[in-house]
Amino acid sequence: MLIMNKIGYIIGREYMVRVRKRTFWILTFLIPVLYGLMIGFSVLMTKNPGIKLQEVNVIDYSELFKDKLSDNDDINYVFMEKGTEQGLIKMLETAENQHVLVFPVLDVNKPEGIKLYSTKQAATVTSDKIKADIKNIIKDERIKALGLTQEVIAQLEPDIKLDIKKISEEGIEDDNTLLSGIVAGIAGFLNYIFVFIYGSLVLRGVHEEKQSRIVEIIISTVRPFELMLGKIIGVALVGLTQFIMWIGIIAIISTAGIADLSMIAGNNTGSSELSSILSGLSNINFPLIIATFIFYFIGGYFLYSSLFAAVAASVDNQTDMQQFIVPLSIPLIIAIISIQGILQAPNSDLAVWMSMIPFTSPVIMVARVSFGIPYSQLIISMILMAATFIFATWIAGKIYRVGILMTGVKVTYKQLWKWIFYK
Amino acid sequence: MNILEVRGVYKSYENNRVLNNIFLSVPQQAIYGLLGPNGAGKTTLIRIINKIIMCDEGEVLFKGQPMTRNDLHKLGYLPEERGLYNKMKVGEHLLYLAQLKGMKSHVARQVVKKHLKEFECIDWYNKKIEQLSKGMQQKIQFIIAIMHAPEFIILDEPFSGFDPVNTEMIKNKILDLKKNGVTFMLSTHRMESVEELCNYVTLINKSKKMIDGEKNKIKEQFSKNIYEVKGHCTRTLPETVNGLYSLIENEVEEDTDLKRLVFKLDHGKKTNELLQFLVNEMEVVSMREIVPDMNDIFISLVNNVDNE
Repeated sequence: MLIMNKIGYIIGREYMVRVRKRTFWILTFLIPVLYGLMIGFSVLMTKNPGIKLQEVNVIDYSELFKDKLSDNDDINYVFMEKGTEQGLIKMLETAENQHVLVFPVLDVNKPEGIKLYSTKQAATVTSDKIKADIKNIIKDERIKALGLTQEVIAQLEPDIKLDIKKISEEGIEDDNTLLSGIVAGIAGFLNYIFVFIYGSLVLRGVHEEKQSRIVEIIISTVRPFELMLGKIIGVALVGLTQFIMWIGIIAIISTAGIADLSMIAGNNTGSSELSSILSGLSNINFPLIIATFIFYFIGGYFLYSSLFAAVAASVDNQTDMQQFIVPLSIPLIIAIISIQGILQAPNSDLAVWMSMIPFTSPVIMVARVSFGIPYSQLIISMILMAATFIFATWIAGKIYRVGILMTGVKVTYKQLWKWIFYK
Repeated sequence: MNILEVRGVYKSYENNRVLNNIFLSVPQQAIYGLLGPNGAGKTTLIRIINKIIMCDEGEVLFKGQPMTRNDLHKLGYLPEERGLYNKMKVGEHLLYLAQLKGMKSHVARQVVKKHLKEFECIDWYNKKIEQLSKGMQQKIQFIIAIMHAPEFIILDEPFSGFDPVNTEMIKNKILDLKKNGVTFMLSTHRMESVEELCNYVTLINKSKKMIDGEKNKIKEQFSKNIYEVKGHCTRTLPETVNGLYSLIENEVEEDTDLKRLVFKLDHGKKTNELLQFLVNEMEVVSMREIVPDMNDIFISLVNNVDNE
């Protein structure tokens, strides 16, 4: 009871000291604002990719396109006199957003020799649009030649939708590969960032405690292990507080953002993919993903931050610290590098192994779980994670206890190993 | 009754023995000087008493019972290597440590304020530690060691960094607390503080205890039967009188014109026998024993071991 009280005071101090800092609040609000700006920017980009109205001067020797090439938001077609092309091409040298489109006399069945002149290399968006417009007109001409009406064509056009199903332990489910990939990528990356951000807060905290020499006063009252645990839990709560606030703020921003996206999706029939993504959100098992995320955040954070704490307790200066922190961080970095490959093949051998090894599972398992994986794998991975973080915290506690009192000692791996066995 | 007993404590780091079969008894209400050169093992012993580290063998008794972690609340500790959380405010820092020592928050608040007032630093309550000078921080650290009303207080080099005024303030507080029944263990290199404050001392050197006990008895033990006599004397005294003394120093004090003579009495001779001899030779004004101070004892003991 007394011990719990003391750890409680330590957790309280570690929490309050950090939450009261200005940087905590700046970061808490800045990240969602950046996220909001990102969403806003992408919405803007979808509406208007930043291309100005293009004026296309058309010289039509084929007489096929007059009154058929119609203007749209991006392109203005202007039909010019035949034989003026040389002058127009010369004009392009000084004019901006101007193009010259020349149709020779055309055989509808073999449309060749159409030329587009532009000042600069025409943006692909523009040339693609022009190409599509021409293609539609030629297609219509061919249909006319065949003697078919638009109604017949509409009947011929089949509406194929591939309904992809996935066979899993729960039977047959809808597949949301694209959406799962996005959610998995975000979750894996977030966990990577969190473990590093809050792990390094612990690292810094322990380092300061050792440098300022407050630690001897504290551990004459509480066990070093209790101090370490209190700090790790305190910082974890700071992380969770920040996480919950982020989720809250981001949820508000996203609601506005998604509403805007839905509107675009509704207006534009071509964005049926976007509509299906939005409707697919409901098919993803968010409770499972969030639960897994929190479990692996706690597990990964405890694993790494306790090892970071042991390192910070053992060494005197920042340079020596790097020597130990870099090798410790490598598995996590490998995990984040391989995440893209894992997203493409979430059930490959590599993916399965990396989601089992506790040093990489906080990123990889969190990413894999949104694709729906066998529960047996998840359970084994969780047990391994829990066992490893408990073991790591215990080992770290042993090193921490000796290291925190050692000053002026150049620490080696061999020494750390010996400290584990000190009485 | 002894408040603290250390029994047969051993401690080694790898192949280096830091404490070798240490026995200590600290009587209640003593100011117990823990002396020894650098690297003798004093800090290790203090850490073992504080349960910061474990000994390899032996035990520590508190009030006759093996010491437990619950007893740590009755201990106060001012380490030699000491620091504070720089970003915390003085008031909340003291409050935090008082709570870790088991005080309830409302009691702790009162106690903290009381001590800050007593040490004339209540104005610092809302100041951050980093805004205080080193001397001010030392005061806060001393308050930390005593604020939870411990029965046994360990002070490791308590006076380093204090100006004479604050040193006096701390000394008076130590004596004051002692009067109220508190026991102190004082580890220091400042022999004048040992002379002034301690009534018990122990000397540790090279992981072993060299000597311990009441300071005055130790001094007696090290007294070499040397006496200083001042008086008016016209005759020349013999350098030695067989079986009674040998004369070590013989000079005339400039400011008083008195003769100052230093005698070493032969084994078993008493001061009265010397006086009986001297009254026939001179007019004795004063006589006192030259007692070795702790500094001399410390140096001679440490050097003896080094020479062995």
